Amino acid sequence: MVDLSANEAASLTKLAARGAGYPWGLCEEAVVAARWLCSFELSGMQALLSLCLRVDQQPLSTFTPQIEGTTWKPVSAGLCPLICGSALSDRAALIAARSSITIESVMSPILLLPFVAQMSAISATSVQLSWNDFVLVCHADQIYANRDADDFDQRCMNDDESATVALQMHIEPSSSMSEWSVRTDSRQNLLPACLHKLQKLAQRTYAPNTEQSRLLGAGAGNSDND
Amino acid sequence: MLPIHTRGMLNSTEPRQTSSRDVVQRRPADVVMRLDRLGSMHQSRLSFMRILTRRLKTEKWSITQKSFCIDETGVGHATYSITGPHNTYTLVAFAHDLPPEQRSDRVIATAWDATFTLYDGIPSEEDISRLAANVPYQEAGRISSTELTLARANRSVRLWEHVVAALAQGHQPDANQIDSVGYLMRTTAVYGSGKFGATDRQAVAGRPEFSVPFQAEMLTVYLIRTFVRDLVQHMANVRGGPATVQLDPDLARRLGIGNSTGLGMAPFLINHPQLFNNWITVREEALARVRNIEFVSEPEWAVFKDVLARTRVSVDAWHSAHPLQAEKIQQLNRDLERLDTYLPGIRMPTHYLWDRLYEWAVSELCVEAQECLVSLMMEPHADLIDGLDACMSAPDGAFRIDGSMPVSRLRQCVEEHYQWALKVDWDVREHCARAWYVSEEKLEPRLGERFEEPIEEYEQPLAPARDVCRLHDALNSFDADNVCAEFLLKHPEHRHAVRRVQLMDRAPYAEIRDNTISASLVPFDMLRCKLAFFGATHFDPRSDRWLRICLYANAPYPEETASRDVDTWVYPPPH
Repeated sequence: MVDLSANEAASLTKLAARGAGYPWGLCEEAVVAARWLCSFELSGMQALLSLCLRVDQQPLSTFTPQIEGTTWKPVSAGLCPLICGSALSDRAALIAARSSITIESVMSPILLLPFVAQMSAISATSVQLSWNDFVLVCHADQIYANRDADDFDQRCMNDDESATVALQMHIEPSSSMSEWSVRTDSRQNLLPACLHKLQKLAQRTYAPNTEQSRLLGAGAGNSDND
Repeated sequence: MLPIHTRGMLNSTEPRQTSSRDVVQRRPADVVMRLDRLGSMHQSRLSFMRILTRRLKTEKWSITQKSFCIDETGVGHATYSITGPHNTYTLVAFAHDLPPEQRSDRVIATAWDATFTLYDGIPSEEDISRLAANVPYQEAGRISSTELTLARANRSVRLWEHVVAALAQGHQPDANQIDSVGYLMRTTAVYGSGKFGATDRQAVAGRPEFSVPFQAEMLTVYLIRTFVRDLVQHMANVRGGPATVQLDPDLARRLGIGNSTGLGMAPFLINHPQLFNNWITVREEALARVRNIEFVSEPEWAVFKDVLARTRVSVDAWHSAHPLQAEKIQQLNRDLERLDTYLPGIRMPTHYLWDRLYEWAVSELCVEAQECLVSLMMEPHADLIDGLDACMSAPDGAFRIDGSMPVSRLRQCVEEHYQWALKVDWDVREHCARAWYVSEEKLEPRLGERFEEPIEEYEQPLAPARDVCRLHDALNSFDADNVCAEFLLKHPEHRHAVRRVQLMDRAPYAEIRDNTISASLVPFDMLRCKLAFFGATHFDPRSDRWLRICLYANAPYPEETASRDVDTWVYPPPH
């Protein structure tokens, strides 16, 4: 595993998302989401990598939901959790007033979790989200789930297929749920292969070096003997 | 956004204001945030270096040279530990033998005269071995969560040789030569906050000594200065043997540490809008408090006159071959002379002296001199100002967008805060001639010509004014009664700009109010602004995007902090 500082992880996340074709504002949301997942020892950057490889510079409209009442539907392919998540966070008060929302065919649905937690915190509303056999509740700045964080993470990484996510508002955690604990250390451990692939995406944002750029772009000579 | 008005927090720094006169407010962002003014900023009581040296004395920090394993060719390592009330930090310094053809201040350099890291605690032998295998390679190496910073420095070859030769021959180096260069080594990067594996700022921000921004970096440079003094003495001892003399402490104190800063620093101010807002807010609050003082006491007036005289000494010694800077220095010299001539006409006590002086300066002096005066007026008022340093940091992470804000309100915010930008015709090539990008070569930040180089697709989001104008266009054709959340679902490409605009509504000093991609942009204005907050002096642009400065010249060395002035050392002794 490679040990990254939170700053390095944030920078890599932002540039990898940019390399996948996201506009800067959504890249910033990707940083927030990956950092939040990391604070619960969940593989946020791995999930982001998987998402970026699927989006891979295709038009974002392909992954943007059509909102029909309480159902968010994909146009063609799966929905992007960064777009859906940002939209949830942006609509926090509005959504808190509803009883449920269904978001169909979300890619890497684990990436939706940070935004739902944020929405829950902003609106001071408990929100339950469920997909496949996962049930999680965001309540009073805490996360409760029907399995522990490690088990949840392993299953998400092994099965990263798109899934329909159901959100239910004003649902409090049941007593059988486990409460996830937050880490204080914000550093991230990444598998070298994951790091390498994220770096390759980030590399798309760097301009190829040219002699003109080398000489003029930073504005200083190459020798400083004085 | 800032708790400056909170009485409890800053009780001791309430304005001394008794009259019924209108209270002077902080200056408007439209005045303060122009690049020509930001690029004329001077160090002040609130500079990060001075905050650090004051703390070292107040808290009685002590320093020990733990090791000095450097051979007669000048190669090896040394460690310096500094201990405060709660923690010890150790500068681990590596000295190298650098061939002259490799001496470059650029980010793309791969070897240096000396390399450094600041270790959190006291390193073991194993730590030193690990660091020796990484720190000399800088970006190509890796440090860890026990290290706070990573830095490197190159010699001023000319002054280094002069000092070594003089001491080895048994006499002191020439003070004029020391003053004309100002430093024996200049750092070419001081990385902190999680770079290359180092610990993150947020992990240590809770420690009192790091509550103010950039304190770990400032401490690193301060300790580097001590190491460099010891290294030059060591090299003189090697050359001169028993005939060598010790460098006179008064001469040693005149030596600062140089710093060579390129474009990498410029995006920082745009990428950290909340932090930048807080720095400027604190400075503007300090100025407003001073301008609201009804009567200045004789001792306070004497402090002002003293630092003004010493500033004139400093400005006399400030040289730059860059035509823009040379002209500014000349103007500053001329205007400080005018200020000096104006002062005897002031009768004490004068009602609201500082405010009158400031208003006079605005009508009579150049911007460079106005900003210099702003810093000088703060000097006598530690009690009003120094406590503001607690408000200079900012939370980490992106500001959260309020999606419930009506589109009409967002558009109003744009028109209120970016009025100047809306007047720019962004289709004119000169107004968008430049583009900021990152080169694949060592990830060096660069500024290129948009219409002449293939760089546009790599453009970094460092042109907020243009981007906000594009947002404004899009808002104009969107339902004004709808909310931002709906707008952003249709227009995710404007999410970054919406975030900035909403932040500006709470943090008016968050944005540089000038065109950062104009053909006429002078990038070193952005560098200078940040460096002035560090406490740098003698800005010397080497091109429009490359600046040399001096840090810690005339500061006491760590072992002198108990006995010497740790506050106003930045002003050299009067002639």
